[in-house]
Amino acid sequence: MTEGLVLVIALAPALGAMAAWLAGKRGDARLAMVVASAGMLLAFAVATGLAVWVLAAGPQSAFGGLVAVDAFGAYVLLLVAAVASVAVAASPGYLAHGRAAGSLPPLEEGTYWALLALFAGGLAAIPLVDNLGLVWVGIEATTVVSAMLVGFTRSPRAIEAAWKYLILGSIGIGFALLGTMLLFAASGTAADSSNALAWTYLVAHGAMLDPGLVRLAFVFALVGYGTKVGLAPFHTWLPDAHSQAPGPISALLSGAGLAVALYALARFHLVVVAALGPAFSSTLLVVFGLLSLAVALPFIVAQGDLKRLLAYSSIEHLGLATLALGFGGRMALLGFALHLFCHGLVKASAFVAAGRLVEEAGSHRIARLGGSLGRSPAAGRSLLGASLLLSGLPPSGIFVAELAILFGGVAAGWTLAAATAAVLLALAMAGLLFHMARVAVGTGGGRGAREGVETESPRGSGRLPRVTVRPRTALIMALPLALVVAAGLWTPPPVAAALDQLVAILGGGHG
Amino acid sequence: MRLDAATASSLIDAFAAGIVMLGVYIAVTRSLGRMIWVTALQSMLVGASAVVVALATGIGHLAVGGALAIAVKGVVVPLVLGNILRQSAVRTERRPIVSPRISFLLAVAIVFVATDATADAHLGATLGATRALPAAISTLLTGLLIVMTRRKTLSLVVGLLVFENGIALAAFSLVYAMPLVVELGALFDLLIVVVVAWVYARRMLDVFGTLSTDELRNLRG
Repeated sequence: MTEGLVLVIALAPALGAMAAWLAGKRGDARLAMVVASAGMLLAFAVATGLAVWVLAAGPQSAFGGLVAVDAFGAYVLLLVAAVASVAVAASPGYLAHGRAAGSLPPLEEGTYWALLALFAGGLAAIPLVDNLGLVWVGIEATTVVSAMLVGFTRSPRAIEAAWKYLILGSIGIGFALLGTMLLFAASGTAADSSNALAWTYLVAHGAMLDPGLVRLAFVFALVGYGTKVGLAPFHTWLPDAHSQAPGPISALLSGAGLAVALYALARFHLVVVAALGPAFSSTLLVVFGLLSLAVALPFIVAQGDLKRLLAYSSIEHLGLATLALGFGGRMALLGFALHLFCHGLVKASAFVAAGRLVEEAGSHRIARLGGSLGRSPAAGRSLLGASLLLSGLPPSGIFVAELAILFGGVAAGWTLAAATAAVLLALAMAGLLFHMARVAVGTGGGRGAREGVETESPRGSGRLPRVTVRPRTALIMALPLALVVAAGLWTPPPVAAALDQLVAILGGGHG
Repeated sequence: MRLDAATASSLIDAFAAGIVMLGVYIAVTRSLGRMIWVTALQSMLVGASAVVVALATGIGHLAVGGALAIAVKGVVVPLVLGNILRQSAVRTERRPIVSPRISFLLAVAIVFVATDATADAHLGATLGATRALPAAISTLLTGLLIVMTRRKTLSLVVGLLVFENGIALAAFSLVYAMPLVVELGALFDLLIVVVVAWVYARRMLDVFGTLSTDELRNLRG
């Protein structure tokens, strides 16, 4: 049963990708869309089923222990399925717009769909495997595939962003491989190598691991996966890649890609906690989480580029999630779980909406994009709504999660760190809302627009034309936001039970 | 065929010394062609160390990993990179960020620092080969040095490969063997990285008309 489900999740996107690529070669973009979407949506539906099953019936394993899904894996799987569905649903609109505007390389739509399917499928496979080595392989593979997508438009800026992402990402993640190897060495069971990298085994046998090597392994894993999570000071690739990628790809990178990388880091953290107790890795997570909040802040406040603004907001939010993981304790971990999911959904919606606005206006500059609420109501409203949620205003799941994280931090004895984080969050909120208010109701043709001389050649200098989108596109952007608002108001009992299981795993018996 | 531990460890020590010296050479030379082929040679030595460890310990799949590493990183990857080189007009790293003389001093300093820093480290599975760990760490750092001090896209890929060789040396000679599926996955990932780098290098040639990363200065803040 589990075997079958896992095979569908792993193979359907891959087959869809292959078919889409072949269809694209034959010049049939529509067929490429259909087969790739079918493969992905089938996999996401099955993934959702598997996740719900795990959350209801307990952990499942398959393929001789190579696959193991517990509540944490199931939760991340659900997040990937949800965010990737948004990205899939938003892609036809993106491609249609690019086709009309002539900004896409010709005959590449099949490639787009194939790469998207591989990227989404890879993200979904990572929380399924019970082997930190294969988790690494998956994260590296998704990095490479998404690097192809980041540079998809082939503009000079996109190529630059993709190049930096490829090189910095590969080097960063090389450190994670070193960390994985050291953890393998720490288990000292070279003869019995089949399960020495299984996180289930490592967590259960934490006491047998060599403490010195475990410590070293975590430092390397923190640098490596921290690069992929976007933790400062390893975050420099992130604003480039997330701002230059096509809108739906930015949504997937920010909403799910970062969360999956944090998942990998969290699995390492749980092994370290089992081996050494919570003090060592928790402190490092708190330090780097706070650092990310602090480093993102000035770039949010002084940002002139809409998509970079959202990218720095991702650094801020993932920093907060890392902080929550470091705080530990029931309340902060509940906040962590809720925050990761809500941020993923909101950020996906925000990037899809921002992508629309940016492509309609032909410019990333906030000064050029003013008045979006009147000009492009659906995307403008969604972006404004997403910004209100991202800034942490109630009622929303993010508001509840942030409160839980901060109070949880105080409860766990991290008073100073929690207080610092609260101040940083408040300042970032002000910065984000200031810019987003300009995008919503500012004057797009004003002084800022003339100053914003750009190589991206904004279309004309007068007012931009009014845009309407199909109801489906509006729904794609609005639905995730509605879910997150609802999450701030009411937690259905099954969700509460799932969150409890998740917190029990993340507590590692110490919370 | 079976190697005894003493022969194996002296062989690995010799390979390790070669790997380090080639790394220093790669960091210093300005000819892109030589960088590529010397890196290929270094990759082959890393693969050969894996085969030696496999012969000494009897861990069969390690020999498979080593042989594949020789084939992929010693042959396929340099061919791909050579293809990029032929298409571009650039043959040398004309203005590296630091001069070759400074590069040499830094590379040698890295070797000393790595040797000193790993003097007290004891890993379980070293076969008695004492040069492997410092060689792995210094190769890894040399790769970082190359990435930080070069401007040509090809040099950056070479730096990444040297960095990866350091990691692979650590994997093969220190922890003996990761599970085969992980080794193969890592090797496959590396191959895709190089292919994607190839794709982007060609696009850069199309768009910028050069392989220099000097053009990549548009994204700030």
